[in-house]
Amino acid sequence: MTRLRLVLRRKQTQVLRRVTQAAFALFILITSILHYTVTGKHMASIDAYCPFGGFETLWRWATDGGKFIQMTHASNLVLALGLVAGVLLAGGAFCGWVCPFGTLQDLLGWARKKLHLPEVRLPSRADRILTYGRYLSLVGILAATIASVKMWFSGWDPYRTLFGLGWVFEFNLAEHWLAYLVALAVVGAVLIVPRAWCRYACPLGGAISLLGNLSLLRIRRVEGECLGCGVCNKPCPVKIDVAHAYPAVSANCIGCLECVEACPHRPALGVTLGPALPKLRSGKRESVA
Amino acid sequence: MKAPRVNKYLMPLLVVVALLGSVAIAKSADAWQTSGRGQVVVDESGQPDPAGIKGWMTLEGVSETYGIPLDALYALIGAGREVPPGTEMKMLEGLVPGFGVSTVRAGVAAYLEGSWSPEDGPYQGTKSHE
Repeated sequence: MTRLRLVLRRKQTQVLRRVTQAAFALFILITSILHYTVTGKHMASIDAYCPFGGFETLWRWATDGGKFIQMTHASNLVLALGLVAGVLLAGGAFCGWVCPFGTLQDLLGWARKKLHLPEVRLPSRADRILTYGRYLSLVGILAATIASVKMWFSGWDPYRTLFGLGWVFEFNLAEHWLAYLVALAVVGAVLIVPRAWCRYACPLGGAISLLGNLSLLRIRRVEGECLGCGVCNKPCPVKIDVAHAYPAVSANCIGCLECVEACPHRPALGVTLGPALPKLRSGKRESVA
Repeated sequence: MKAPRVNKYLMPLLVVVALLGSVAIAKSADAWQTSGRGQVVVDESGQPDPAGIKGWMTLEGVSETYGIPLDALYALIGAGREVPPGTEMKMLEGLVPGFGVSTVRAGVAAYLEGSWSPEDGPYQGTKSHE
């Protein structure tokens, strides 16, 4: 009976998450379709709705009299600001509940299970090293964008390639071969490694992870209550070792709540309020009230 | 130190509210802009950059902004005078066979560099929609 309640509780949260993800992904897809099909009236492209565009254009906006880098607008800055506020309040839930590219990766994960494809699990050391790819990607893209005063990454950004729908409305292999190749490589990688783009390459994910260390809400594990069953590790889409998190789960957490829902002993794992920075607080043991 | 437990749904809720709230505040302050309409992209020397030609720009607008005579622009895209000068680049795709905004970008850049002139006929380049 308890097990049934757990399953139902988990299902309810995950249905809510899928509905939220689908709503944002549909909004972006419809935006792309309208951008290509409606004439005589301005229809924004998905570039205008990307928070990372706000990070990319911020330097020019601040140093060049409020000008934007090509393809970015005030909307990008506003969304970047909203994203930063959200991350400082509640961590990386943007990745787990809002980001359309995250949704696509979850969909590919579902397809992998249905197609009985193997799931590749990288050794923990390799996984940890590759995680730094997001920070490299973040710094590299921002530096190149500032230096070139252009959206350096947009030509082969897999999110833009896939959700911009250029491959549907104006397929042009000669001009966009690199974009298609990168997008295909990312889709292929995600099919065998869950959320591979989020975990190892996403520049926005890198920024969210850095800021997430300061977030007000965190998922915390209470060592004294934990049964040590490891059930919480299994559903994590980004393969965080929740079972050994102490006290707070890594800032790489995407806030999907799968681990909290899976935990068979509720006092052991939960969303808590309080400053994070677990490494700075080493030696002090926390407990969830 | 005790960390008080909160409702788990606060996590996604706060992120979504922060994101949509920022949009609502920007809209109410008239600061929400999703288009560069009316903004001309300039290069490092401060001159209008043909790479910034957009689908919302009219033939007339491109001619004036980039200093290319209207006749030369018609020749560049291979359109006849029956196409009104107020036509947006985006709408030309349905009026001029094989038209692409990226062709105009490359063609105007070539005209400004002197590597293309109206006598060469319609500019041959890559096609893309934006």
